[in-house]
Amino acid sequence: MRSPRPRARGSLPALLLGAVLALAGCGSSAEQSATEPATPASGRFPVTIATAFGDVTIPAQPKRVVALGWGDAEVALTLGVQPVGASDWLPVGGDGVAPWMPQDKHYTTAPTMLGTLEVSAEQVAALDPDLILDTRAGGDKARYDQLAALGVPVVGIPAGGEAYATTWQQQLDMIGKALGRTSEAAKVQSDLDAKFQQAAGAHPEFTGKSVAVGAKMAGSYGAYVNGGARIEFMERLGFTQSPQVQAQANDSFYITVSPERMDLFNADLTVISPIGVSADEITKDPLFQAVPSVKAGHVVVLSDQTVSQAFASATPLGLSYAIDQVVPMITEAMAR
Amino acid sequence: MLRETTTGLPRRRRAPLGLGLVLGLVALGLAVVGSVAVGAKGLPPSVVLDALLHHDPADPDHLIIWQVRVPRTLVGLLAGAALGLAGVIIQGVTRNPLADPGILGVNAGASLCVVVAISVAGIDSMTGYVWFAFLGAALAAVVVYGVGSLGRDGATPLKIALTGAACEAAFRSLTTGILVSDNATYEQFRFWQVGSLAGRDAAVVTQALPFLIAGFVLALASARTLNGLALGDDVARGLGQNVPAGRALCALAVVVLCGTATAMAGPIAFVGLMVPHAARLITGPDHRWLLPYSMVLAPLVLLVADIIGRLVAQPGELQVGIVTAAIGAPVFIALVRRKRVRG
Repeated sequence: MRSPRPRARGSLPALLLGAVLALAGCGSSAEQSATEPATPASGRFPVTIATAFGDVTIPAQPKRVVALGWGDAEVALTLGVQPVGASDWLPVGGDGVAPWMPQDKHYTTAPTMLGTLEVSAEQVAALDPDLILDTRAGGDKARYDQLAALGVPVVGIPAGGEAYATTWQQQLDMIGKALGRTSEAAKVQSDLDAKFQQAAGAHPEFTGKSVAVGAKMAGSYGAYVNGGARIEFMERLGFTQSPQVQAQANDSFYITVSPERMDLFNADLTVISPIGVSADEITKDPLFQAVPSVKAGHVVVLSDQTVSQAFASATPLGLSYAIDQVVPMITEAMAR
Repeated sequence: MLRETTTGLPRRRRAPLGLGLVLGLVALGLAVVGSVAVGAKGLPPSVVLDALLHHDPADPDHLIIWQVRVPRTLVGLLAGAALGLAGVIIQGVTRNPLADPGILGVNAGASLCVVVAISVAGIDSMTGYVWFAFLGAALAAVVVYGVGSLGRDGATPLKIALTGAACEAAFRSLTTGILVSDNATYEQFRFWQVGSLAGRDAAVVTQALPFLIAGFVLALASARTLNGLALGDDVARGLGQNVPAGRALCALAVVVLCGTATAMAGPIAFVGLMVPHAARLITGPDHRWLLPYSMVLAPLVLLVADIIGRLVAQPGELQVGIVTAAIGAPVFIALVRRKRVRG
């Protein structure tokens, strides 16, 4: 009688957020290094990709791509392929293109927008796809079976992968292969790697400093642990994950933190995002203000939603944007 | 279901019952002390005492006492007392021993209103939720009581229970519909939905207090009416009671109590159901004892459940709504089974 459904589902968005946060690792922005010349259609078909649901073979270069997984549409766009159907995970609205995507990567023909957690197979079928991407998703067998029944290759989460835990590198690699754009994908990756290295090199003061990365959702705080993208992002800049947070890690991407245990957020640097709450709920919380590193000003509150989403996006261009935006904020906080 | 005469107890039972109530109050006092002294962060008693006597806003440990433990203890005390009283009244009015605020659609109405407020009006603070939860509870009760009163025989317990269950389902469906289509609202609502004493600031208590006092007075004053209703409408009428008016007053008390408790802490399951049964084992069916006992035992259960929730999931916490559900579900099943065996 007591609404079992919301409770049962309750953990999912949190998990998603945690997962996404976890994923965002490193980024690659394709702008600077022009080392490899891009060869269009660098992949050869047929190509076989190992997924959690077995090997998937794509017989020929796909023309009508449906991108369902978190970030799949963005990665396809980054590689120069416009999906005909896409899911808006962020949710930014419109055609689901994140604010950090450069203008020349936008759609010329708007895609059909599809659901995220629940996708209508009928709607997908109506798009007459020749490839379905679902590389960062729940890894749900029923969902896979329903999509696979359409007789189209479905690239699900990677073999051995976990729900929403596909790293940006895995996603980039799988989609690059599936679209026949492997050399473009490799360049995106090397560019992002280079951008991280450059940022870390420009800030030797970050090296070896501890960081606690957290979020406040409605009513509760959480902290991210190793295996998550936010932590990877910070580590690529030279920081080390807070050992006291890591000591509490369980099998999730994050731990929940009681308001009594705000001391866990104390580190050389504290980074925190409001998720679904206003930044005020963090900055005006006396318990958060009492954390020594916060009191000393060594804190970055990612109050801008776009920046916060980019930091958590686990897509190459999102991470690249996050480097541009977050590194100056960190620099300032560390200098205080 | 209350077959014994409820108009009075033998005089000799009063002394032990009075003593029991005092013992209950002592236990509640201990729970209050525990709720302030025990938490996710282990603080030595000397620090707790120091924080209470010489509050230093610069000391993080003192902040934990004043910002976290004192407010949630107050919320637990008040919301618990309200839920206990409301449970007794609902079970009395509907003559349904398995009734609790859920059965009148009150919680669901409050939830629906909160969701609409988050989704449409962008309300995102606990102090904002209070008013909408309250409004929702009141609207739900008016709708349920109104629809349940239609027809010649007026608001019978059965019609109210059926209408309540139907409205509960309808409100829940609407709530779910909004949540499914609106991720941001869902994320915000999620926390409130489970029911928790944490993260509610002192302003919530101040806002709720006038309503609660009114609710407490109404509830405690309804004992005679409930005793009458327990004998059946006809007997109550024969005893000179105005049955519809009495029932409406009880409904008002329930709305005020449940609406405010739900607004403060979110919908907390099973406390309003369990506690009156436990109390009835001690007091028997006389509402003049049942009401005060429930008012003391319910916050005791709630505070103990909250303390458990703080200790079992460190460094996080388990919300009290989950703990009460975990304790309450087996109790509920036991009640249903016992009823079947005896009934």
